[in-house]
Amino acid sequence: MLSQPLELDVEFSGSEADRDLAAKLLGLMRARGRFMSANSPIRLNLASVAEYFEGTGVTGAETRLRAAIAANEPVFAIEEIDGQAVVVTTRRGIRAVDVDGGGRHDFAQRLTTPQPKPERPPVPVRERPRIDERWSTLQVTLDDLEEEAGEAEPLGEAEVPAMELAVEPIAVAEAPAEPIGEEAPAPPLARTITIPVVSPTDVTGIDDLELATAIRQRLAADLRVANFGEQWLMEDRVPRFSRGDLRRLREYLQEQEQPLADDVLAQDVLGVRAGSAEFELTRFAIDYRLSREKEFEFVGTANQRFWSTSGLPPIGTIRRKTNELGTDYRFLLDEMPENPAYRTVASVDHVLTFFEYIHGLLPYDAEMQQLLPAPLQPNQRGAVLTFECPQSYTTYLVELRYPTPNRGGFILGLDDFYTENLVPGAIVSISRTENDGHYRVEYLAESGQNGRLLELDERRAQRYVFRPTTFACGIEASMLLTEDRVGGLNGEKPLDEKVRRRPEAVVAATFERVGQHRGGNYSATFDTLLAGVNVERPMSGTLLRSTLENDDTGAFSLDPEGQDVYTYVPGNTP
Amino acid sequence: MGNVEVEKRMSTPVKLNDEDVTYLLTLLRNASQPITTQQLIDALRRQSGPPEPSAPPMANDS
Repeated sequence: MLSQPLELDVEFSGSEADRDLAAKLLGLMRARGRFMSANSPIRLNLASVAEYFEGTGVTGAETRLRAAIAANEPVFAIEEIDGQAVVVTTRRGIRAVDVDGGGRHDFAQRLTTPQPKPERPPVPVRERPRIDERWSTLQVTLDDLEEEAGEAEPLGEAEVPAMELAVEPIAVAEAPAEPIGEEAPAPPLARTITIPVVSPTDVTGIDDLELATAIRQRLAADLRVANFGEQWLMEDRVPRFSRGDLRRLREYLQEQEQPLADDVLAQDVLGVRAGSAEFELTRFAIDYRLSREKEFEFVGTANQRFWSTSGLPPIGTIRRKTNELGTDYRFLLDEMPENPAYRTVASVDHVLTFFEYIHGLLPYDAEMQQLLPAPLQPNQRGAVLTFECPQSYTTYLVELRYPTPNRGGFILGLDDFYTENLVPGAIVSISRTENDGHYRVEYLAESGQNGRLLELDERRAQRYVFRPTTFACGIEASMLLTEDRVGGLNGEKPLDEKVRRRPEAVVAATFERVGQHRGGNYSATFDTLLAGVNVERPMSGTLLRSTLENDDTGAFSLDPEGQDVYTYVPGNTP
Repeated sequence: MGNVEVEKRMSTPVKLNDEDVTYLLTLLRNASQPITTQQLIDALRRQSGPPEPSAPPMANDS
């Protein structure tokens, strides 16, 4: 700390002894008040001072002090405080002066007395923005949406005028200043800023499909907009889920051991009551948020939005892996139309093959594609559907596997339905409902019939056997695998995996199993061959016909004497 | 001429302009529930048509 000593010469009056004593008194009092300001009064009890001087050898100190103080009135003063004499001076060596400022700089006063509020200039009158007539339909549209949602929510009024201002043509003109004299500078030219009016696109005459594509192109690329399937909302209005919420959703799916729809998750996990105001919003939040999480997979349709996660047991057969089944059905890729027409037919009839029967499958061929919905999400691998059988009052959870570039599509999960109600060769009808994820599957109920039908005996080594069977469903006779028609399969083992991958090899093996042996050759009708090859692997009539007709080795040939009969020469096995 | 214009328009895919997108975003911003694509299409058709005389005035329009 920097301190500067206050050295002021003070001239004392009186006798030499008084001046000497006054100088010592002043030195004593300056020492007492050495940290005080120059003009602050320094007070010392006169008795104490006298006692001090008595100690230094001054006799009659109080009397002499009073005399010295009286002789130096400009320097000292004596005040009476509580009946005691007090010597007063300052470091400057003058009598204390009244420096009371009347509290002008008192913080307490300054802080408790606020300054007066500044006067505000009057607010200029704002011109009311006018609304373009085209926007008059906005309120009607919003009202319609609210009515459809089943609740009325007030319109955000503040949003609308801002939007109109964006399209309102604005013309700003600066009036030129009048020239004062001849030497006045030339006035600037009038400047006009015009914002071009953008009129809405005329959409009359444009079909809904094209408009939907245009909407998707513009809104899907906008990060402010949340989209799932055919639903849209502003992203910041979609509720968010915590890590705990996501964990609970995943654990609930694993606990239930099957994919669950978003409405089930909203009610059971998030506790949102169906029918409440926020129920639809919560469902959308589940769909939109989970679609951005890697640990969840969408396996639903537009109306039944199923969600799956890792660790769930597979739906359907465990005899073959889904990848192998996709490879089996690869031939369907060549039979699919270039422009699929999803959900354009009401129902599809199908004759069950042996391969489909034992695996609980249906092929996702061109007909089935016309019945079932398209993938809702890009890169969606499959969709969980519900197949309801009104004849047995049972609903089955099945999985549709969409085709990939190198694997065909199929439906699996119908094992129980087949084994409880049908036999290979049965005719089933699948019809759609208003819900694109729910279908009715029916069969022709008929009186009971008996027959020795083909089965796959899996008790020890897998073998084909014929067993007496009673069935009560409508069948396609050409696909029924009775012992009378395809008895050669009895006791046969399933073909080796390497053989069954090649359609030609399977056809050749089928000729040997079910064909009529004549002179070293085998012959069989096309229908019998079709039923027989579908014991080992899926094969459509188109593929079988193509295999028989386009055989370069000459092993297969059409028998000109028979009706749709083909012949196989074993030495030329393709 | 009218047929030619219609054919020309049908051959090129329709594109929404900024006015249309602004209108759709306003709809989405004011919606309390998710809006379907079909509802957006209906809204666009209503907007591009002539103003409906029965439309109520906007809340801040006097």
